[in-house]
Amino acid sequence: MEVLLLAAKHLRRLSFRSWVTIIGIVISVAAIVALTSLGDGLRTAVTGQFEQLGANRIIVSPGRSFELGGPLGASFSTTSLGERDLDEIRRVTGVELATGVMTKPGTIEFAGKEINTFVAGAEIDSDTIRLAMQTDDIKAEKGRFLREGDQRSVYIGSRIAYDMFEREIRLGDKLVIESRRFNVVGIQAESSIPFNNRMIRIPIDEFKDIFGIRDSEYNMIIVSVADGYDIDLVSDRITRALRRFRRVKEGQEDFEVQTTQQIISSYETLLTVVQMVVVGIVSISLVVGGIGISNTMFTSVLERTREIGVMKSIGARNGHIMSIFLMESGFLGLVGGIIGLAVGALLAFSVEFTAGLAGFGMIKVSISAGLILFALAFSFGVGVLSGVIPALRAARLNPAETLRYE
Amino acid sequence: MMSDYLTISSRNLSRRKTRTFLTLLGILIAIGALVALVSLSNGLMHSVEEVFEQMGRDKIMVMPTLAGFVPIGEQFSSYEHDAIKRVPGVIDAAAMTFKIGLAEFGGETAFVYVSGVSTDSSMRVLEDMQNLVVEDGRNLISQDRFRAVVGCRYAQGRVFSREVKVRDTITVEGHRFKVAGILECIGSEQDDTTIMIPLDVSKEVLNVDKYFSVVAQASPAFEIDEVANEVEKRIRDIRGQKEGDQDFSVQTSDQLLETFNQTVGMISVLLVALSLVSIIVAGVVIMNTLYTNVLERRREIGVMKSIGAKNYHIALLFLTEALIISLAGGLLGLGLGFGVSKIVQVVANSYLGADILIVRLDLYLFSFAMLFSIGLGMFASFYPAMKAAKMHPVDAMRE
Repeated sequence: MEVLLLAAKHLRRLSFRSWVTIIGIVISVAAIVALTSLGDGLRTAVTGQFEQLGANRIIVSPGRSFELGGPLGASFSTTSLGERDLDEIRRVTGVELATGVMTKPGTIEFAGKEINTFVAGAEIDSDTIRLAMQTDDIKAEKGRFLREGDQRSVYIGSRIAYDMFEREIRLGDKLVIESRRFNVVGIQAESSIPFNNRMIRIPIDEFKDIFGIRDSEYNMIIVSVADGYDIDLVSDRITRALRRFRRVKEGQEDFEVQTTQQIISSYETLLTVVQMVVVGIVSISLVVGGIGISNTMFTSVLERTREIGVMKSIGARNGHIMSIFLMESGFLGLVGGIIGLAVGALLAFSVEFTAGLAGFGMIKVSISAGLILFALAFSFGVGVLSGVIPALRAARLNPAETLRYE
Repeated sequence: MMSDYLTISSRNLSRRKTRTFLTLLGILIAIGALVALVSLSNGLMHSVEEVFEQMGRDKIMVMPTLAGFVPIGEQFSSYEHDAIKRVPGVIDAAAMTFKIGLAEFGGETAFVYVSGVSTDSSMRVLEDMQNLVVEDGRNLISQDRFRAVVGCRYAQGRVFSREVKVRDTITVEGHRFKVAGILECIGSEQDDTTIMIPLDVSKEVLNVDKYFSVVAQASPAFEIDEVANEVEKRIRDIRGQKEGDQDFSVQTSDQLLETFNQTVGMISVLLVALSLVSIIVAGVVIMNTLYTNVLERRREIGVMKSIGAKNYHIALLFLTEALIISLAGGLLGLGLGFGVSKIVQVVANSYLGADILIVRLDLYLFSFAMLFSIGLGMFASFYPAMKAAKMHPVDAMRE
């Protein structure tokens, strides 16, 4: 404690030079804090989008197509999943609801204009409808989702409804899909997943009719897990059941079972890597700032040579001298860290505000307790580390020599 | 005259070795980071340009409208492919099919990219376009049926645990293909894990009847943009689409290059901006060091002034000190940064298995780094130098 007070007193005396030294640390800590918190915010926004799909979902897709091509990669796949696979999955213990989706690119026409988009064939049994109700991402903004007994009905994405045609599409409008007329029964609320907004959904039987498909070939099967069951366990069970049913050996599966959590974490890993590179580059500045602290400390040791001599001659040990200087440099780092944290947070929030004005409201800065603690501990650490060599030099000074020094 | 400044300044600097060294270290690290990032992104841009140069400026790519990686536009029929061939100015046009298919080798199975490619005379267009070089064996020829050419990762045992060799048999979607050749690494995971088979065979095996893309070569006697426009118009006519409503895109090599360069350019601007933070901090360190120097040498300044030194003499003295530090820091930083990016080059190329990234130290980068470093030194020393110059001789000597 005494040591801390002494350090603080010296800092007051060294004002201008200390402050310039601190500015170096402030700049780097501010940059690190701003970029980390913005990165965290962006990551939360992205993973949040996926969580809207439902955190307890399992997605079964044909042969690695999801991994290689994303949600619609199955249109490149040579294998497919059929109704009997769906039945098999529905029988697995722990599966609450399961439904299959088929998607194909198709043309739709409205108000004399033709566009290309994704057409999805949705089952319209009770399982599917209940699953759709549970999924935030395909909630209806106007009208309703498809339902049992629907014929020539279409449920459309928000971009299709509002942006693609000269005239806004309203409930009850007629839409021509691959030269057949459909009745718009619902418009989906804007989804955070872009392709969902360009999707139109029609009953699967009509889908098969339009595209001339006899048996269902699902691009993916979406499964929800019943309450009280472990999602990873259920996912394992589905894998085993499908392996048995499709007669393939372990390691040779021609299908892929992923939980939403797995999909989210693969995106999260990518974003984390990018964030680490960015923060890593900026962290170089902290090294430079640390060098600045070393420099200041060396000068201060030089200036206080006599003082050190006096302290030593009245009985201060090497260890005492050393801790005084270490504390001082640590203090420089810490003050820089505190101010840097404030400046960085201010910077991040102003970016958030500007982004919000520009229409990117999804970026929410998050400054976690971890980040605060990390920034403070780190800047203190850098300070102490930078002070080690100057402090050692101070501690090892010979008292007789120092007193003679001018 | 100048040599006097140099002598006095370097004596001053060497009298404070530790401080000078630390300041130098700060600049060195900051300039090093800048040089490494700039040279890496320049190297990347340069390699991309080289790839496009090899591809030739005479290629026209015809693709369906994509949503990310997935086509939402209609793929191309063989009728449309023939129509492209007949556009005036088109020498030849190759077609490709594309799927994710099941491959089997040595008792293991994997889902991989499978691509059917034209094997007639137009194959040359594709070879040019994708910069394909057969490392072992031979390329596909028009008589080939169930033959395949595979990407380099098959030969490295990175797709199946056993290494694939020429004349091995690999099963694709239940059909047996004999490996005719193995490609040199291209450097992208997708290309290096693709299995290429003849176009006609791929229609049966992959169960497709449309082409994922068509690549045309334009005759040098024609203006390539006009040929591209004509290709676009021809397909629009066949599909009965209006301009702006089309579900496919036609791009020349130059247009592709431009898109790519814009992306890489944006990334490199971002990286430079990030490394600027270090540079600013280094500037603060220089300023602090010189300021300390000024304070310590008050008496000296006072003496010089009293024997007739003018304000600008004093200012020049401190500016020269900063110049020496920043010159040395800039040079060493160049060395450090370049060394780091060379190491990255070696690591990246050995991972990708191809000489994709080549970093060079050119005059442009050299002068950029040096100017930056000197500018930084001058800027940071301005305030301390002025402070020293404006000192009153009597006040300065009294301390």
